[in-house]
Amino acid sequence: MKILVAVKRVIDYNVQIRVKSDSTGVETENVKMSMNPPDENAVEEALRIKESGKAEEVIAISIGEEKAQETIRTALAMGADRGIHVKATHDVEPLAVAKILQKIVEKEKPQIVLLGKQAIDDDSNQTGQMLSALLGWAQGTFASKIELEASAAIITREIDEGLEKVKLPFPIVATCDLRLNEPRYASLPNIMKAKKKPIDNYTSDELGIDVSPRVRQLKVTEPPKREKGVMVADVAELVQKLKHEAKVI
Amino acid sequence: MKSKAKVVIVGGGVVGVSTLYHLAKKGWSDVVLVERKELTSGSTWHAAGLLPLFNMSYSVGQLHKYAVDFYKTLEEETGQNVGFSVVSNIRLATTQDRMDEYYQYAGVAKTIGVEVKFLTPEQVKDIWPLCNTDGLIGAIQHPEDGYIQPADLTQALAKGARDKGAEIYRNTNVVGIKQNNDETWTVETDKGEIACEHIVSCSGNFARQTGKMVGLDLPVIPVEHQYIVTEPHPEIQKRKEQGLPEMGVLRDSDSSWYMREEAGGLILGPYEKDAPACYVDGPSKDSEFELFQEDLDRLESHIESAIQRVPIFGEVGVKKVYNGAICYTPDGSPIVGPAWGLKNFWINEGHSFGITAAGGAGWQLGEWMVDGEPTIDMMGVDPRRFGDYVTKSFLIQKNEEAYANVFTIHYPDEEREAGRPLRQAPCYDRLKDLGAVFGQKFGWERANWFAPKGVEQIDDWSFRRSKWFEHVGNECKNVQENVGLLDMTAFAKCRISGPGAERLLDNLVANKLPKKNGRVNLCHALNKNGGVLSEYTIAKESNDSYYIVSAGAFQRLDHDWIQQWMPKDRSVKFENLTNSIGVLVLAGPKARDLMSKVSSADFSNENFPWLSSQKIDVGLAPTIAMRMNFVGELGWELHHSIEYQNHIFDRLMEVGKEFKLKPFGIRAMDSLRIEKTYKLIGTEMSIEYSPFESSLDRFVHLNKGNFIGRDALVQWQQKGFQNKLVTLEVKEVKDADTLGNNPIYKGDKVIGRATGGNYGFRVEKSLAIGMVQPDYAAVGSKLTMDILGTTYDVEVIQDSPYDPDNNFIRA
Repeated sequence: MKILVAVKRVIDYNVQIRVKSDSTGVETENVKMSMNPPDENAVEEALRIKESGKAEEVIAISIGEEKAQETIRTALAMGADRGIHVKATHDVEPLAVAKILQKIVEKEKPQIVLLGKQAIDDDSNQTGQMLSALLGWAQGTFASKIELEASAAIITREIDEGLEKVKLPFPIVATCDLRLNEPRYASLPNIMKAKKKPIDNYTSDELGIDVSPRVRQLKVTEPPKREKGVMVADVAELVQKLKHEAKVI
Repeated sequence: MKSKAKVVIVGGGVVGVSTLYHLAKKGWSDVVLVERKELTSGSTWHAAGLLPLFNMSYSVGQLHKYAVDFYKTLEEETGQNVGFSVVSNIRLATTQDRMDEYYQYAGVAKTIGVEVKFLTPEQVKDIWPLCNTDGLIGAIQHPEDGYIQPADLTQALAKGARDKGAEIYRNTNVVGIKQNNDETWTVETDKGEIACEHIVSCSGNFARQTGKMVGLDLPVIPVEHQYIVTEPHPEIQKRKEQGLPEMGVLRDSDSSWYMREEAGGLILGPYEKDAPACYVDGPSKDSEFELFQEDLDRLESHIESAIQRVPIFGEVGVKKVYNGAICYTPDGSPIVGPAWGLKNFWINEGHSFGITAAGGAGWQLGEWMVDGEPTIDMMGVDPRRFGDYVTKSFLIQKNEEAYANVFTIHYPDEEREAGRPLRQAPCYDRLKDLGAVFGQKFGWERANWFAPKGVEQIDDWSFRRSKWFEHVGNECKNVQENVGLLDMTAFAKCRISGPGAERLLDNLVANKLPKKNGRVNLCHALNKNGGVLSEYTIAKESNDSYYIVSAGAFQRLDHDWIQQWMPKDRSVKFENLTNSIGVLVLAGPKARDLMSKVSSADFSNENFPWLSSQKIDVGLAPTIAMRMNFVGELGWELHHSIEYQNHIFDRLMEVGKEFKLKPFGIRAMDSLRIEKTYKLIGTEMSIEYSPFESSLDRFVHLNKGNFIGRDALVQWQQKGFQNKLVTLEVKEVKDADTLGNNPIYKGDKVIGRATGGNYGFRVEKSLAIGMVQPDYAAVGSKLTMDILGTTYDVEVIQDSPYDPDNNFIRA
């Protein structure tokens, strides 16, 4: 069994995001980038499945600019066997990502596709669902536990009401929650070895996918700055202010 | 926020906060610090916190020593834990040259009171059992150092400063700096203006932006530095459970990395080649707690060597890679001191070992600002040690090179390649054709020595006599027997003229000024404490006009000092002539015969005595000849307008054939000057020594009237001097001469240090110049001295062992 894991290169979660002065997006120049955190859970889960003997190969795929290869290398250093890079020069929207993944799934024929539940940069939370629909496969989103049986996966989902268990017959698409596992750190020898693992390259044109944006972005702005707090003398003043200034009661 | 303060410090990293603390401690409580974001948010927060005492420089070494001692007292004073782990640090050696470096360094350490132990590979294994000692030939250990938590240190300093009355304004952005007509300053921030007397720039990665606000081009650009933090390793956790001490900071100098324990795992910090300069045009104005993308490919060879040295390092995962900016200057040392050309603007920037240096840099800047002078020789960190030649492009090349060389062996005769050749005298190509092997000083290419035909024109660095020794010896011999030519175009030169010139200069120097036109005097500028700041050769050109020559490396420092004292009434004019006048030095017994053949002037002793100057011609070119030199032979310095240099050079070389004229270089000059006990600024002469201690008695006239430093010097004299300059013969030297900073002993007691040394080819002795306690300074005094770990017998001999009566220079 093969597992395909989709990983995205995003601004590191520690970085304070700065909006570009022309409001066209956020600053990425000289900014530290990392693998989208839930994608790390996806890679980790794939590796655990492989290590348990239930899969033979883990393939990491990323879509994006040249440097997306670094994110693939991170997955390879963690233990993925090979990589696929689909080059794109601008941001690719979830539907196009899902269509690209569909093409790769058709080529590679994995039984499981793992993705992060969403990316921390655009927070779309759509790709896994779209891919499942395009492929006509079963989907388990927000997985906090994945158990494999001979012909199906039992996926525990975190939902508002509690935990939901679903049984999905293979092949499946699952999106991973941060509580699924604790991703491993790659050791330096593995980081070095990862450089020698193969990465196949495609372009969206080669795959016949139109990646032009469907959404027009008007403007990116910073959220309003938090105003300085005020000290109140007593409860009466607090109530008064909440009522008349904040207008929340 | 105050609208008025005595001092405004710009920048709240560890350096700025330490400066604030020390100013407040010196009693200036009306001091404020403005920080654009949060304290430590530039480079301090991501520093690895190491406190390496190791430093080859006497200045920087003293700053580091102060800091390590001071940080240990800070918790008691402020109640804030600074996270100082005194775990010691071990530096490994795998080659003999590296051991030589450690021995040379141990001398520096000894003279400034830093404890250093030599370890065998077996001892390294005892302390660091997880270290593979294959290939090691030895190591040194500093038992007293370790690492500290940089953010905690900064907060403790901030608390200490606030307790003393200082104020800190965070999230306050400096948008402009104005100098007012009365020379006070106004700092404009986004929260309002602060009027102040002094400004200190401690802005780290923003140094060049802060400098630009006042028209200064600061020689600082950061370089990326990465370090790797691993997850815990069972072996280290086991040691912790057993209550074993931390293994300490391990430095594999020959593989260029440091390693230490961190939370049960390890930190590896390599200094690799090809680390790029960063923030070349400054960080973004919103930059805060910023890191760059890691690039482990660049570190591969270091990682491999680290895994080989400490195998467990490769067995655990990498938790995080920090890639952050560290400030650099072209020589890797910080810039601490006054800005040039501006009153009361101070600089504490360019710190690549900021955590270690912050304590000492803040301390000395406090002394300097409050008392008017630093108390240790700050030449090695003075901001004025660089000049206009430092452009942005030069900085990028040099700073990247400085970073890559953090761990390379610091040979005494090392000359780095980046940014060269830059400043070239017109005769550069001619010297090169004659075999010159160049070095760079203050941007100038200077011939260090000349490779004879058949010898490769490549330098050979060593702590011992190396390939060039023999050739330098032949250059010296030719100066002694025939005549030699030395290019000294790099000299700093200026003209001071106008009705106030004499008064200005007389106040600046301890010697009497030359009275008659055409006379030349050697004069010394003292600082306000009476220590020796600089040496000027002053020639009186005409009434109200003086021509002044000083060491090339100190051009900005010397010229800034002179200009600081210029009267405001425009009665004195200052002209920097450094780049418009070239200097060729002719020295040797045949110099007169040669000069007489290339010039129409009369070079007889009667007409052209020692220490006089005349306008003459050489070939067809107008030249000022000054009868003096730094090598102790009959000779003339030929100062000429730069466009005539090659004409003069060619005439001398052509006519000089008959007299066996050959060029000589800086290394020969150093040997020749040691034989004459001629002193150099920065070694034999420094602000730490009075002119009397440096044996400059005949150049000091306490009764000539007041001059800068006079009263302090008189007081110093009354208290008594701690040092005396001596010339030493080093007995039975085989292959290594004195390099300077060697400890000098009487029995087991350190009673002084060598300031310089060399082999004297004319007297055929290994010589040293040193500063010893006056009790041991008598001629015939028998002492011992350490050279590269070997103890030699040394004897105090008469100064100027070559031609003690100066018969040759006056011949």
